[in-house]
This record gives sequence, structure tokens and C-alpha cells, in this order.
Amino acid sequence: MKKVCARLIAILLVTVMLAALSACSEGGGTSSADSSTSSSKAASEQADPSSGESASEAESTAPTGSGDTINFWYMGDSANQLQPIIDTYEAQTGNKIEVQAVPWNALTEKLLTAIASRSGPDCMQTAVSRTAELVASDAILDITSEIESTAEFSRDLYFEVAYDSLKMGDSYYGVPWISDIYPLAYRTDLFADAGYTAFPETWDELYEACVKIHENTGNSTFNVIEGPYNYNFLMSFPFQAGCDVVTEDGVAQFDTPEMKAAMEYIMKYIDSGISSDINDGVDGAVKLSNGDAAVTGGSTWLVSTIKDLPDAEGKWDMALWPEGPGGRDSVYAGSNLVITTWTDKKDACLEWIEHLVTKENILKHYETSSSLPPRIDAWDTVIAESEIGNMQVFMDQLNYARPFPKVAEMQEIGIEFTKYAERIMVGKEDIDTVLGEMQQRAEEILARSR
Amino acid sequence: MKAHKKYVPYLFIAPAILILAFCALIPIFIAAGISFTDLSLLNLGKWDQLNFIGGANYQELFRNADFQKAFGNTLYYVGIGVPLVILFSLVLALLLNTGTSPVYAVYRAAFYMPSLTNMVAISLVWLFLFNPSIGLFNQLLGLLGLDPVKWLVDPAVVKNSLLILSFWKNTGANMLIFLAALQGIPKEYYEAASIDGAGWFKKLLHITLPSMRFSFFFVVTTTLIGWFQYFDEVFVMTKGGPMNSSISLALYIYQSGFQSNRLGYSAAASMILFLVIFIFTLVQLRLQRSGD
Repeated sequence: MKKVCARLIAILLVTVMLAALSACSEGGGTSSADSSTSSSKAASEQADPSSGESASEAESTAPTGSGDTINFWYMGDSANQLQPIIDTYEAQTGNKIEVQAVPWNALTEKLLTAIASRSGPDCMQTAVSRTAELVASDAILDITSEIESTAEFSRDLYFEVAYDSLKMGDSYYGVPWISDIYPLAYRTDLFADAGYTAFPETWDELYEACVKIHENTGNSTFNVIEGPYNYNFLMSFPFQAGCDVVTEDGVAQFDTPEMKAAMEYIMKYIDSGISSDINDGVDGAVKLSNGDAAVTGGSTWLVSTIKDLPDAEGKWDMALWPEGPGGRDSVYAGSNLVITTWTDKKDACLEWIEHLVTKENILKHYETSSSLPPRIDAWDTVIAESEIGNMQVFMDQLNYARPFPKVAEMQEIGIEFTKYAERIMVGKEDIDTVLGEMQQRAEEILARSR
Repeated sequence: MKAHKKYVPYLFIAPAILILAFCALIPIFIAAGISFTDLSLLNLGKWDQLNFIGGANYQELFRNADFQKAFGNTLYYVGIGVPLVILFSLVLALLLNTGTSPVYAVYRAAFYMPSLTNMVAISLVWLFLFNPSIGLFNQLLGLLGLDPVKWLVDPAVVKNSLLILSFWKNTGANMLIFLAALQGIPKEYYEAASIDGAGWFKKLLHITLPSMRFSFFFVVTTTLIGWFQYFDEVFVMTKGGPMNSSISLALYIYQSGFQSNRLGYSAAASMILFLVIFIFTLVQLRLQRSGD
């Protein structure tokens, strides 16, 4: 009886331990990997028959043919847009791509888990704004020499800003894949009524035009209130005022005259009453279509949204940001392809990345997902295929773009900046006071790791 | 065999204790440990760069205006939301308990429905209701000749707008618990009271409410904890804005941990929230026991 009892206890304890461990790990780190396999397995199983048969056939042509499985993180709600490109890669090389779609708003959480466990993806798509952070946390590989030795990665093929966004010091930490750029969108008819056949070229001209439009319509003109809620839009103002926001060696620039000029320019619209200071959450495309805005921040997303709004038809266009005292630079965002430091499949990853950035595949991805290509030679097709030809503006803005300040704490500083900007724009607090506090806050954040 | 007898009860509770230890207690201790470090995305996984910084996170928390605001807002949400929800769910339960016709079942379902609905779906509808220019609420106010209210835009109003939404969403679940308790009270008590000539109010005071004491305790405790951890509504409706005027402690913890990557700091904030909830629950338990 004693023995039975002891055995019972032992079995019970082991079962409980196992149950507890699996329950715990479900809530913890490995859940990301678990959830990934369910969706991607289905995808890879679908692709399996074709890749299985072609693997042997492709063996002679395949560069490696090692049958590696690459774990790739793709940003977005689903990886369907990538499937055709994966299929051709798997057929060509016999390698397998296990793709996991990571929603943009879950990126930080996912990165935290991956970096904490030093596992997860072998390579991934990641936002350009995260480069400095990922380099500082020793999560992504320096691939400068590979970039120099691979034709498809050649820096001449890409917009300068695209490679600049992943350069830290003299090293390059990835390959550009998607260029996000945010020019402006405006109502051509309202500007025409105010006597403008073309979009204003400078900050002052734009303001004057908006004053005239407001006299005509009485509505809000430049949708500046987007600022505190749209980081990319907000950052354009200090850039154009000639402010670096944070310098590359980590000096905050919030108390500079340039930053003040940027905030004053925004507030000129609000204080004079020609732009609304109410953030009602209505999308910029809808505001443009309703006439509740004459100018708003533009994106490829706006272009695809506004097409469904019949009121806007024929009355809108894209425009380059006007020139401020420091130029007309807007924020360069978008995504790069990076290889993690913990992978043991670096060569296979490079091969996969090379496949992703060929002109053909980058255009294929543009067609399925509207992600703008960073390769200059792909833009002829992009512009030719755009419905009203206004993709040219996106390309032009790419020549007036700069990446986020490359300091590891930029994410936190950026979030703080939107909050302080909200205090100025919505709370109507004194610009000098708020910027002074923001400077202090940024210095505090930057001092932590130095 | 006899010697084993005293272990047997422990054996039976072992599964629960172990799961609790691995999934709740140990993580709490780990979080408490992390709160004394400068853990962030940058030194995660590089333990040689992790520094023990003593109470610096806590000191910063108490100096930080955003944290103070989040703390104050949370007390506001709890202070108004909890009594309001409990009172109304109790009143609703009492009213629904007065009859048995199918109409009551319809109302019961209707009141409970919001609790079942996904918060994100709810937020889509309520964002429209609250819209300052095209929203239904302001249209109705306009019909009454009143000025429009900037529901989610005005820092002075936004907390109350969220309270209205949460009140609507959370009343139903508690109502159901109260209703179950009400229906469990033996009819004989009321019959005896009627014979003694007790009126409606006397019955409520001396039979209904005392019989519901346990469910009352349960509802108050879970509601308190739920409201201290107030997150979903703020997260999907306002993200804590405008100007942090609606931010709650739970959202602040999320933002500092998962957006600003400051894990040590946000662990410190969550320890404070944990302590506050712990103290309130302890007081609750004491009150319940002294009542027995």
C-alpha cells in the first residue's frame, strides 16, 4: 500500500509539474512561436507538394539546396501578400520559409520576447525607426561586406535615404525593402478657387493660400491637428524648420530656435482659426473628401482610401511638402530586411533577402500590398501603373526625406514628443515652457544609457 | 498508512498550489525583482549590462507627472465606477426579480448583452456615438436645444464619457450574479415575514440584502479589482488622451513597458498597482469577516 501511495504521489507530481510548466509557457515567451506555426504551417503545407517535387529538380540549379527552414517575420495582419514570392523561392532553392505575420502594433512586444530569449526569427522585416534600438540591443547583424559583394544589394540601386536609414556609424545593418513616405494630399478645387493652380512651394505661401481658402469656405484648412496622433506627420515640421530633433551623437534639440519655429508655424494655423484643433478621429481622406480639410498628411493608404470616396473624385492630388526655413524633408519610414544575431542560417537568410529585393519581386510585392519600393529602377513601373499618375510625388518626396534620428531611445522620445506637442496644440500651453520641459525629459531619457 | 494520512490533503491541493505558484506567485516575485533594475529592450538578454538601481524606479514614479495623473485617474474611475455599477446592477436585479413573464427574460438578456460583446466592436459603435460633430449623443442634445459636448476631446469630460461606456458595459454581468443570489433565497422567509406583517422595504432590509451578503462580497471584490485594472476602454477609445487626461494606471504600465521599452520602470509601476489592489482586497476580506 505504501508503495502504491508513493507511486501515486510521484505520478501526480510529475503530471502537475508538466501541466504547470506548459500552462506557464503558454502565457510566456514561447507563445509567439506556438501561434506562428499554426498559421504558417498551413501555408507551408499548401506549398509543400510543389516545393517537394521541385526541390529535387531544382537541386542542380539551387545555390545552396541545403533544405534549410528560415523563420521569417513579416509585418502585417497576414502574410498572404508574400505567398507568391515565397512559392517561387521555395521552388528554386528547396529551402523553406516559415513566415509569421506580426501586426504592426504588436511589434514591440514581439521584439521584446525575441530579444529576451535570443530566439525566434532568423531574419525579419522591421521598421526603419527601430534600427538604432536593434543595433544597440545587439539583435541584428552588420552585413556591410555582404552588401558590397551582392549585386542586388548594390547601394546605387536604392534611394540614398533608404540605405542611410540602416547605417550606424560606418556599418550597414540590413537591406531596404519598403519605402514609406508621407507627402501631402490636397484639394485641387479649393486651391484653384483661391487662385492657386499649383500647390504652394514654401511654408509661407501655403499659409497664405490656406488663409484665402478659409475666407472662401469657412472650413478648417491644413489638418495640422493630425500632428500629436501621427508621429511621421509631426516630425516633418521640425525637419523642415532645420531641426534634427536629436543629433546622431544623442543631443536633444527641443529647446532650439528651429524647433520653436516649427511649433510656432503649426500654431499659426490653430491660433488664427483657419485650422481646427479638434481631434475627432475622422480619417484624413474623409476630411479631405468632406471639405473639412484642404490639406492633410498623405500616404499610400490615403490614396487607396480616397478612391472609395466619390465626393473627392477629381478634386484631389498629392503634393510635395512645401519648403520651410530648413528645407522640405519629410520623415522616411518603411521597412528593412535584417538578419538576427542568433540565427545559424545567415547564408540562407541572405539568399532569401536577395530573392525578396529583386526588381521583379519588389514590384510583385508592391502590387499585392501597395508597399513602395526603395529600388529606384522599380519606380518607372510604379509611376506608369498609378491611376492618376500621382505616384511621381511619392518618388520626389523620397529625394527629400530623412530617417528618424538614429538613437536607441528614439521610440520613447518620439512618444513623449507627441504628448508634449499635444499640450501645445490642444492644451494651448506656452511653447517655450513646454519645449523646455520636453528638452529636459529627452535629456533625462538619453542620459539613462550613457 | 496512518502516517501518510496527514499528507493526503496536501496531495489534493498540490495541483492548484503548484499551478498558482508557477503562474502567479513566482512571476509576481520576478516582477518585484525586475522593478529594482533598469531592464529595457537594450539590455534584455545581455545580463552583464543589467544594473541593480535600488529604488530609483520608484522614486522616478512618484516624481513623474504622468504616473501621478494615471494614479489619480484610476482612483476617480474606481471611486465613481464601482459604486455606480454595483448600485445599478443591484437595482436592476431587484426589478427583474419581481416577475417571471417572458418580458423579464428579454430584459435580462438585453442588459447582459453588453458584457458579452467584444470591446473592440463596442468601441467602433461608441466612437461614432461620441463623435463631436456627427455623433448621436450630440444630435440628441441638439434636439433638446443643448450645446454639443466634446465627449472624447475635452480633457475635462473624457473620463466621464469613458465611465458612461463602462457603466453600460459592466452592469449586466454583476446584475446576473445578484439575480442568481436573489433567486436562491428561500420563499419561506418572505412568507413568514408577510405573516408577521413586514412590508416590502422591511423584507428587503432584513431578508433580501442579508441573504445576498456573500454574492455582494464577491461582486464588490471582483468589480474593485476590475476597475483598478481599468484598461480596455481607455486603450481602444482614447489611448489615454487627450493629453493623458484619461490615462489609467494599467495603461500607463503598458505604455511604459511595451511602447517605451522600460521594463524595470513599468514593473515598479505594476508593483504599486498590485499593492493598492492587495490592500483594498484585504480590507474587503476583513470587513466581510467582521460581518460574519
